[in-house]
This record gives sequence, C-alpha cells and structure tokens, in this order.
Amino acid sequence: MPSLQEMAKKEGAFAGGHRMCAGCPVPIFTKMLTRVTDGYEIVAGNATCCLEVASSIFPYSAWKIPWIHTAFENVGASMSGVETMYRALKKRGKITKPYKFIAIGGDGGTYDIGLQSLSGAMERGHDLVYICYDNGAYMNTGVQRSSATPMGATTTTTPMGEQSYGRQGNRKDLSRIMVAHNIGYVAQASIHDPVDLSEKLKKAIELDGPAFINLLSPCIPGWKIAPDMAVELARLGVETKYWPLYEVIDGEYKINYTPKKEVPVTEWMFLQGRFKHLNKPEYSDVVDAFQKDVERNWNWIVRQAASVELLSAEVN
Amino acid sequence: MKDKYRLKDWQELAIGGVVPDGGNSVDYETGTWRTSRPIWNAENCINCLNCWVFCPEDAFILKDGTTKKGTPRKEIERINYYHCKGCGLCAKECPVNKKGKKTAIDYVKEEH
Repeated sequence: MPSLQEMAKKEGAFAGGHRMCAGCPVPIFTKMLTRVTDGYEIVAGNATCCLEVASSIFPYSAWKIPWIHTAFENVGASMSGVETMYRALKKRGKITKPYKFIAIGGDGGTYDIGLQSLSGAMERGHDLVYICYDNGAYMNTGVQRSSATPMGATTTTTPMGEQSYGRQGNRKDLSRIMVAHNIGYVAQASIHDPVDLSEKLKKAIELDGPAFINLLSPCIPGWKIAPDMAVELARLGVETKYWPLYEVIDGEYKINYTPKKEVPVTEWMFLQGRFKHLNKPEYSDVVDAFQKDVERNWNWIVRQAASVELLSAEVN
Repeated sequence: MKDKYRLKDWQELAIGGVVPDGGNSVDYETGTWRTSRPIWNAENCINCLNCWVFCPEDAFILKDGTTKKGTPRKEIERINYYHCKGCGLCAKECPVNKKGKKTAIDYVKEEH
C-alpha cells in the first residue's frame, strides 16, 4: 500500500495552474497517477470532459506525461490503438521501456457516450486502465442529466418545479456492467480516501489486462455545494452507502469499507443544492424510494461478497 | 491584460499547435481567483501530508526533512499562493483543525 510519504517522494503527473473550479477534487487522482507504481511510464488518454478542457487550455498544458485528447465517445478505442501499437513496436524491439496506458472519462463520456468504445476495449482485453470520475451529470457543458444522475437531482434538462421533482427513475450501475465484462479488475473508489484509491490504482495499473475504476467525485457547481465540501461529501456518500467501496478481482466481490453506523441518505442529500427541494413532506416518497434503492444496491453487493466467502470456505 | 497572457502570432506557434513543454500551466496564475486564503502554521503542523494530497492545485510545496527519530521524510515547506485558488479543502481536511484545539491551517478572508 503506497503511503502518503511514499507518494510524496515521486514526481506527480499533473501540474498546478490548470483551470479546474476551485475545490474540484478531480486533480487529487490525476496527481497520483505516476506516484502509485514503480518502473512504469504512464500514457494517458482523455475523453472530452471537465478535466480535459481545464487542463489543456491553449497554449498551456498541465500534463507532465504523454497525453492524448480524444472526442467524447472514443477514448476506449483510441487508447486500445495506442496500446496495440506499443505491443507491436515492443515485439520489433523498437521500445524497451515498460509502458502502461490509462483512459480517463467523466460520467457522461463513460456511462452514456463512450460506453460502446469502452465495452469494446475491455472485451478485446487491452492492457488498459479506464478511470471514470463520476460527478453525476454533464457538468462541463452546464449540468445536463446523464445516466449517472441520481434520482431527484435537479439539472438543467431535468429541472425541478411544479410538475417534476427532478431526474426521474434510478441511475445506471456502470460498475456492475463492467463486472459483466469478466475482466480482471473492477473497483469503486472515492476521492476522500487517498490511501484506498492509490491501492486500487496500483492494482489496476500493475494488472496485465483491462481494468476499470469508478470514482466518486463531487462537483462544486453541479451539486451546488461550497468549494471546501467536495471531500466531505464524497466521505458522506460512502458512509450513507450511496457509493459502496468495493473491488471485484476475477469476478470475486470484496467490500473494502463497511460503514460503522447506519447513516440515512438524507444526511448526504440535503447538504447539496441539487436535492434541497426534496426536503419537504410532499416529496417524502421520493426520498424513501432513493433510500430503498441505496439499500437494495448495498445488500446486493453484500450478498455477492458473502457468497464468495461461503464458496471459499466450502473449498477449504 | 497582462503581457504574459498575450496570445502568440501564428509564426511564433509550434507546428500543428502542439504544446511542446508539458506541465507549462505552472506559468499561469490562478491565485487571482482567491476570495479566502489558507495560512499554514508550522508550529502546529504534524506533517501528515493530508493537505498536500487533497490540494487540487498542487500548491503545497514539500521539502526534505527528518522525523524526531531521524528517518527521512517529506515535510510541508510553504503554500504556493501563485496557484492556490482558496477553496479551503486543506483547512477543512486538516486533522489538527478537526480536533479543534489548535489550527495548523487558518482560513481567512482575502484582503484586496
């Protein structure tokens, strides 16, 4: 497990002076990319997202590693190509250093627009880590709903008002879709726990094959929160079981963190402006449905992890 | 507009508009965004590096130091106010601040 001291001794991948919003937690993981492993050169590809736009405003670039900007939908395909080229050149002896490839996308570019290229890259088995930072809407273009937007959240395309309480229906669970690809490593991580996150990054990068990390990353303007609240809200998202921290290694679920006490999901919701309108008696059924969905999702993961333990006990 | 942010002519740009020196965003001043500023108190700091890891701007500058036992470690040297956007994450996540007795990072309104 890379400690903070160990990470501090290495050179980061991401420089200051980028134009992300004040308090945006996304650079916390981009800074880490080169710090979690030894002996690898990292190459990153970036789908169009907040990170891509704010880190590469011409003529400046915040990236200290080789970095490619692709369109919204094809970072999976582009990085597959780069990885294949690397293997071909390595075979011919033109590259000797070990390289690792990372694709980064937001939730819009991963859950919706880039899903088919991501699915293809994972299915073909490229040695590639895909990191999706999930902030729950198309924040870069002005908070439009995506399929990662939680129920009841108000966005510019699902505004709350007399006729609507915000986004209708439940969000998509991309982590489970990626588990269904039968790849070696899938994990859900959160920005509030850098040690857990760095360990997951290390496992994913060092794995020889495709890996996927889904990362909870609160958004200051989109969630309508104060600039110093991002890490706290990621922590509360995990404590309320909205965002369980787990990893799936070769199809076997393992829960990394079980909250010590039951925290109702309202503790997390009503700190955010996008859910504030639900804090009224007439919307109690929406909040109850949200809570039920969170519990159902958590119980499903607990059952998966328990069945793994049961099976391994039977084998022994 | 300051002269350093003057846009280049097409003759001055690299071919294809590439940015040859990656990481050159350090030349860009984002400290002007600040409405509040963190102030680091060395005497109360326990060098846990939480502020460094959570700082989205990479504004905590580290130096080499040693623990009381003499093992080498990284320590906080200062805050780079050229990049600090004043979000306050460092003061919020500081474990010394959270205990509430002392403050290792004060968070105060910016004076213009």
